[in-house]
Amino acid sequence: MTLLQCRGLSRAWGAFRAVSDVDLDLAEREICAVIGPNGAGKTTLFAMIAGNLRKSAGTVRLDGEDVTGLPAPALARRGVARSFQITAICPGLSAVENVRLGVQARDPLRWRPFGGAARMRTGEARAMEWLDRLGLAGRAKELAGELAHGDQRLLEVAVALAQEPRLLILDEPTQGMSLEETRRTVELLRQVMAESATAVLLVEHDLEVVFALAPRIVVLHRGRKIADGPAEAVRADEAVQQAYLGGLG
Amino acid sequence: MNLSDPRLVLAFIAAAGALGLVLPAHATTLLTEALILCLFALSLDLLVGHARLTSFGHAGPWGFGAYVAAGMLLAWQVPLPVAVLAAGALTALLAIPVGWLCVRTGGVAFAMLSLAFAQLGYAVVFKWNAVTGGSDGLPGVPRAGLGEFLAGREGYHLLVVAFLGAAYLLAWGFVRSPLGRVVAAVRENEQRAEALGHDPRRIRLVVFVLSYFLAGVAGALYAGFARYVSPELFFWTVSGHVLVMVVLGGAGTLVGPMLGALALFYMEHQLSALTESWGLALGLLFILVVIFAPRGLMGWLQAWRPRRRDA
Ligand SMILES: Nc1ncnc2c1ncn2[C@@H]1O[C@H](COP(=O)(O)OP(=O)(O)O)[C@@H](O)[C@H]1O
Ligand SMILES: [Mg+2]
Repeated sequence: MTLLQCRGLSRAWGAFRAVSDVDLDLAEREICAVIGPNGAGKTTLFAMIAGNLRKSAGTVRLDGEDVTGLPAPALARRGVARSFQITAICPGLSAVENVRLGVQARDPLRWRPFGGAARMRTGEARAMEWLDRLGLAGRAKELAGELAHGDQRLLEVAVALAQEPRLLILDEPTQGMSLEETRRTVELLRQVMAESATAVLLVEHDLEVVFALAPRIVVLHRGRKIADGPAEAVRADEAVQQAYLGGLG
Repeated sequence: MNLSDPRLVLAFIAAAGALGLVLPAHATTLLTEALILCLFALSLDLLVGHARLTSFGHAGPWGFGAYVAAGMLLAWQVPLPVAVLAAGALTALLAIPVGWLCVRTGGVAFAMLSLAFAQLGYAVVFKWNAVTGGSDGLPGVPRAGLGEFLAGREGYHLLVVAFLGAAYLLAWGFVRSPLGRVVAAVRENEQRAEALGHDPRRIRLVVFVLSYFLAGVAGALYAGFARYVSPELFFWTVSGHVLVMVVLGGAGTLVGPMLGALALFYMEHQLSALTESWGLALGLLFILVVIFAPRGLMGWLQAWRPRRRDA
């Protein structure tokens, strides 16, 4: 069953085409990494899919529904969660509250202008579990903006995971993390992918992370999709090696 | 002792009520006025502190609430508490179209747009002689339906105290409610709030309406207090004044802006008795506060506590 269907997605700034005519299908539960050199258009592609950026051309369908023109909040309400390459957390709120907001993002509770304390505490307990799994439990009460850089990156991932999305979009989640933090994040992502039905779109520079997580790889180069297939096949592909992977094969 | 503890704040408000019963008459009157300004500053703190929407037009809902209540009291002798709540409700209703336009912007544009709406109110009441009394305003606003005690100095003081206590509880409860936390998320990071599924404009409109409701209530209480409304209520200096109260006291703390209102009101009285150039002295004081206590009186009082941005 196809969850995400992108057709002819393009984005230009003036004459510069950051993303050109990209088709991308993603099945339920599928995990796909998008790789490519800096400036290839990966972030731009994700921003169009998640509704953060207007498309110059192309369509996006989610679960058969045309969501091309929908803004980010509408997509989030349909079960799309994302992390940003440039950390986007709420700096003046505690770490645990950042995650609780993720846990209860789609709970009708969010419209209550009074009370709700007990339900919020339930959400907070759930948020603590996520923090614990990322090794952040000890930092739960600290303001997110005062956490170390690596911890903020972990929090960014935790908020998106806490939304329990149908489609999880991660833009360079481990960027700026230490080796240990990267290991923890990869471990948690594997667990979550195994235990939930979430489909994942992942941009990642660390190819070890890519091969550890994604059975399928899409390669972008100058805004165009130049390869798409099983990780091993893409790894062996001549054009990909020329464009990006260098000596890795 | 946590100065933001709601029980403590309510105890202080109750103490201010009791104080009004023992103070000399003119002091009670001053205290009543100061408490109305506390409510006014509290309402603005929801916008400026909690949603970080710097309004420079809060005289708008204040004046609107005052005129609506005055009209109802003069025309129909509606019981005053009913007039106050109805004025608040109508101000909230007005906040829907006004806020819908204002929350599309932020920062300086938001400040200017809110100011423009307050100026519009000023122009309307100034020109619309038949209904608003034009530049003369509406004198002789009755404290209708209150009975002898409540309509008197001490009784009206207690009425204001009750409204202030209720308003504080409402604002305090809202800030910590699920929706109030979403407002905080929008304030802290719009992009994140959107990724969580919240439409920042809609969320800002909610807090805008609540803020206008409370400002309308404050203005209505003022109309009954002064027994007189005039276009000056809409003047831009009123907006600036209440903004200074919020910043002076510590935006985003609810308690701080109320303290700021008391402090500013008190100092103005003391200084204006001492010197002609009290405005200058207050201006200097404000500059010192912004430089040396950027988080206002509250930040200064709680300097020894760990930093928290929320009430
Ligand atoms: N807002 C923008 N205005 C103009 N050009 C942009 C903008 N955002 C991205 N670009 C350009 O689009 C190209 C692709 O950027 P991006 O999607 O961030 O690449 P990647 O994530 O693959 O590194 C880059 O050349 C970048 O400079
Ligand atoms: Mg990028």
